[in-house]
Amino acid sequence: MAQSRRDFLKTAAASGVAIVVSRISFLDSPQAQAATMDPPGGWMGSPGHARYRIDGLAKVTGQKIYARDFQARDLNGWPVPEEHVFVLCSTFADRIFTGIDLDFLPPDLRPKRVVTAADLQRDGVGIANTDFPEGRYLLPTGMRPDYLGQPVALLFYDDYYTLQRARPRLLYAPQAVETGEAAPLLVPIPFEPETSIIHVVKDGNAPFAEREKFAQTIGGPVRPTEPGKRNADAMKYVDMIGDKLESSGWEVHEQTYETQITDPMFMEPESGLAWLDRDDKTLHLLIGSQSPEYDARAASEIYAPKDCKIDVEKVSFTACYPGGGFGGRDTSIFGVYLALAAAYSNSTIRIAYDRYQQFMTGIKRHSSHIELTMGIDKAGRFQAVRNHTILNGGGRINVSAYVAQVAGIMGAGCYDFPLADIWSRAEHTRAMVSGSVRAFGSENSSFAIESMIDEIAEARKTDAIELRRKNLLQPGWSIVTGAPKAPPALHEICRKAHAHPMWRDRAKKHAAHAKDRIAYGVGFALSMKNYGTGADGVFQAVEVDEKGRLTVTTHGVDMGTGTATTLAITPARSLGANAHEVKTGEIAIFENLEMIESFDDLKENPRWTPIAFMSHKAATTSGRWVHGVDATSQVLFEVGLLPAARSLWGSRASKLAPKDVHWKDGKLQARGFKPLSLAEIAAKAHADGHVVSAMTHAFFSAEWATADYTVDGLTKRWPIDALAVRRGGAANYEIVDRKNAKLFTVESMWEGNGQTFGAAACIVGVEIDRHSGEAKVVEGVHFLAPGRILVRELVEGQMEGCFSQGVGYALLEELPPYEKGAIDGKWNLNRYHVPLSADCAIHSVEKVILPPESPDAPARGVAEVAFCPVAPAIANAVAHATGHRFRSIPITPEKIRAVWA
Amino acid sequence: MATIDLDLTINDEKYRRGDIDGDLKLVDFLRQEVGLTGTKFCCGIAVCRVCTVAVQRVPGGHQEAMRACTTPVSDLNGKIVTTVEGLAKDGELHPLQTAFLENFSFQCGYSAPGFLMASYCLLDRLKRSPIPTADVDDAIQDAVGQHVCRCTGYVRYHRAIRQVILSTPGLVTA
Ligand code: FES
Ligand code: FES
Repeated sequence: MAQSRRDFLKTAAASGVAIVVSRISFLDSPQAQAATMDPPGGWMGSPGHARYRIDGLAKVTGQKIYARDFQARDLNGWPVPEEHVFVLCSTFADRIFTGIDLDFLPPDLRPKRVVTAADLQRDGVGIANTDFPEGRYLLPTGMRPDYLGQPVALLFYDDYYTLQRARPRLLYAPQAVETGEAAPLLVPIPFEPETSIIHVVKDGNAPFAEREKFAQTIGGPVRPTEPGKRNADAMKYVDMIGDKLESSGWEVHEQTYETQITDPMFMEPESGLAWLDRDDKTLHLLIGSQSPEYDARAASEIYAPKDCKIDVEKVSFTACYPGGGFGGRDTSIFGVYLALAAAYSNSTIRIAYDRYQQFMTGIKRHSSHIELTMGIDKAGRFQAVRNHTILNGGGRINVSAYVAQVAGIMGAGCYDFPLADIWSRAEHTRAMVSGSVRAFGSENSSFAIESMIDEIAEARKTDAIELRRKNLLQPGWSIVTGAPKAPPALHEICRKAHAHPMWRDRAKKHAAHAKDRIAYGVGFALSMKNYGTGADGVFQAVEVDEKGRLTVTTHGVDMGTGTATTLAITPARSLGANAHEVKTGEIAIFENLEMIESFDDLKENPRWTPIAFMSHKAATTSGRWVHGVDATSQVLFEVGLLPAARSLWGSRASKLAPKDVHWKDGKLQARGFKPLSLAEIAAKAHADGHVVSAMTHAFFSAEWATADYTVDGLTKRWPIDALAVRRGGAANYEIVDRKNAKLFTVESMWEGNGQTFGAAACIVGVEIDRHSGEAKVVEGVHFLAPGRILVRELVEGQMEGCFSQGVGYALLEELPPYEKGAIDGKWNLNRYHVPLSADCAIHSVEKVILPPESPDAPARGVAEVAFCPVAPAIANAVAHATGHRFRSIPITPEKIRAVWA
Repeated sequence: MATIDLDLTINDEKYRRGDIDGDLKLVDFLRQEVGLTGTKFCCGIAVCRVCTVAVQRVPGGHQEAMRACTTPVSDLNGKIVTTVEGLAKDGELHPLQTAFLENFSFQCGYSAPGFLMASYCLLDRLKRSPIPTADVDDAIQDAVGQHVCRCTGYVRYHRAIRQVILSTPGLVTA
């Protein structure tokens, strides 16, 4: 994954535009501060615990925290009144676009100004580096649209209500977008890079660690169709695997599976404000984003060209709480349109999509076409897998190539296959843009693999869980697609599921319904899922004020998963207290570390790191951001607070080491010394100029980069790759240079393959109405092995949300691709069915959270892992109930009726 | 566009506007005109119920759950509207708000105001006509079963509402 990101990530500095990100400080509002509003004790529980979410009070009292809540009048200095902008989209991709004509609108509903590609061209507006197709944010005339829904013009209204009245007419307005000659449809072409994973083990009984003969962990990725010895070798193995599947006498199963396009359907349609302050040459943006740094950078890049007539020297970004995200607000292009519109107005610009527009233009989950083959020997051992996956990426590259990569990494499931030929790619098509949505490609592989294993079990008349158990990766084994460690608990989950009454009694219950109108079936599925991307970078600062109040600052954002709350309780381990405040979505402050981001190996440069900022995704709160805050809290304790405590305790304490002290009842204790409160220690640290704030960057790829740091004569090795400290009384941070760093190169990242995995499973019971064909989830067991648990309620909440979204994915949700899809402007929640409480068996899904496998088990990602097994378990249950295998989801009543007719 | 003189009460405050478009949707009136943005917007077509507010015809009347995205202000003339901002009284959270917090009921929180207002109306109904404990889950399902929440899977919303119903005297008969 790392190498292919080389071109993807560029430093913000490249555009020469400064970026400042701040956030909506809802905790500063008078409403939030009224202590009486807060139930006794506030959100904070005892150290390391939360009574409720740190953002809970703001959310439950209806405060302004989402981007949609803000108008210019709420923001200091922003011009009022606003202008309201409608992004007019193409509704076709098979003809030449010749221009727009708004005469069909009644005169009072016409925009007062229109901006088209010609304006952008005239003004030399550039392209955000990360984009494909190259710019074309507004389609120039004389071209065929790159995709359905490609914007063609920005329409400016000076009144909210006029736009509200015009909106329904503009949504799907073929008459507004003029067309010329027919043009051939885009022939799908792959987005680069494709993913190819070949795995071949040595014959015989080589010890596990030495058994790999060909793998991407030895020498990096391959591209079998390209020149070079390694690629040629890979091609030989591809052929060899094909031959073996044909001629080894194995039982061979070969099927095609398909999954659909869905919408992340976060509840707050994308909205935001922008203002270009021409005096200050500052572009202000206010958005609820999962990737503030990307949005700010993209906005800066479009105005970076030297000959650009729009003068922007600074982008000031205000990050709001996103009203849901699930990946759909990660590298969304929405912010680019805000930034563009602002350049053509002297006022504040507001773009607020309605739900129809969000369906038309928002990021979607890829549909997939998966050709899967498995060979099994007589003893029931999996011998070979061939998985060829094609994802429909739609019209912009976004992160599609990486989604395909993750689909590939998960292409052999949690099983041991001596031979694997996995190839996955996303294609550029004329469909709506797909991108990052919860599970990031794994859900497709999981559906195909877990369905096929059930099919194999049926064919062999063996228990489907037993078959899985026989073929599972063993703890500590590397996984077939190249990551170093299979997650623990796969076996334990299977053992528990196998013994569960729902599984044990399934045949009996199925038979009992054989003659009823309602059929019943039970299905099981097991998944593992990587969390993190294999190359993750996190910034954070932990600071203590004179009164002992802690503040955590992070560039992570909380889209509802509980990141802010989790990070608030994290300092308790080292500092004996929770943070009073967590500042999310911050970027500018981390410039104090002066990091240089590059995949080139710059080991001599102590400021180098492969990835500085990552967007908030990939279920990384517990696995990555928590580490950052935990490590930073330890640093602050050891280099700042412990020395201050020693001074308070006097010379007798001069030798006290971290192991000699501990926090109890809010006080720092050491045998023979008076317990000290954090407030006392903090006051001393501030007064004496000890370190009162630590700011760090940490980088992970299979393990954390580490280095030695010396502060006040104390040298210690920390799992971080950059450190700056601020002392009591000082205004600025001092950088502490790292020494003896253990860092990563692209090669070492490939060889170590930094993926980390969590495991989850589901048993689901469904009832199916033989008349209507309607399938309903009626009971379930949801298993998860999250390792160390930080806030149990948040983990359980993620499981519940994953279960519900899995129900939607398996049974309810679907957007047709292309012209019949949401581009027709008629898609809303009356047609697109997201699960309601009655669909989710809310009173009868048991949660089984496995305990950490060891005292030092990591806290693993949850929010994607728990999603993956749900849909395949439902599909397997439907197969059990109906006796028919559905290889494409969603499994709608029509599909079921068709096979039962 | 038919204009009307509007006179309604929102969260105990009187709002009088002359010459206002009677078709204006309540959600726009609240968010755009009054600046009360606690009432959310999602589908705009009366399906998801994220925009639910409580409306009484007269003081002391039944609290009725209404979808602000499709209700024109002309329907509300003379009526009494409670939004999420009006739930806490005298510096104290409403028990439903506290229960939503303590149960970690919501995640992104966007659906929370709709769930709060619909269950607020349910409590009002149960106060007037209590039900047997055995019927509580069904009553909750009736009240909020059509509400969409994309984040949570609904479990903790239902749990919190049930807790409040069972711990508030006089809402259940046995
Ligand atoms: S916004 Fe969905 S019902 Fe009103
Ligand atoms: S909490 Fe996010 S939609 Fe319900």
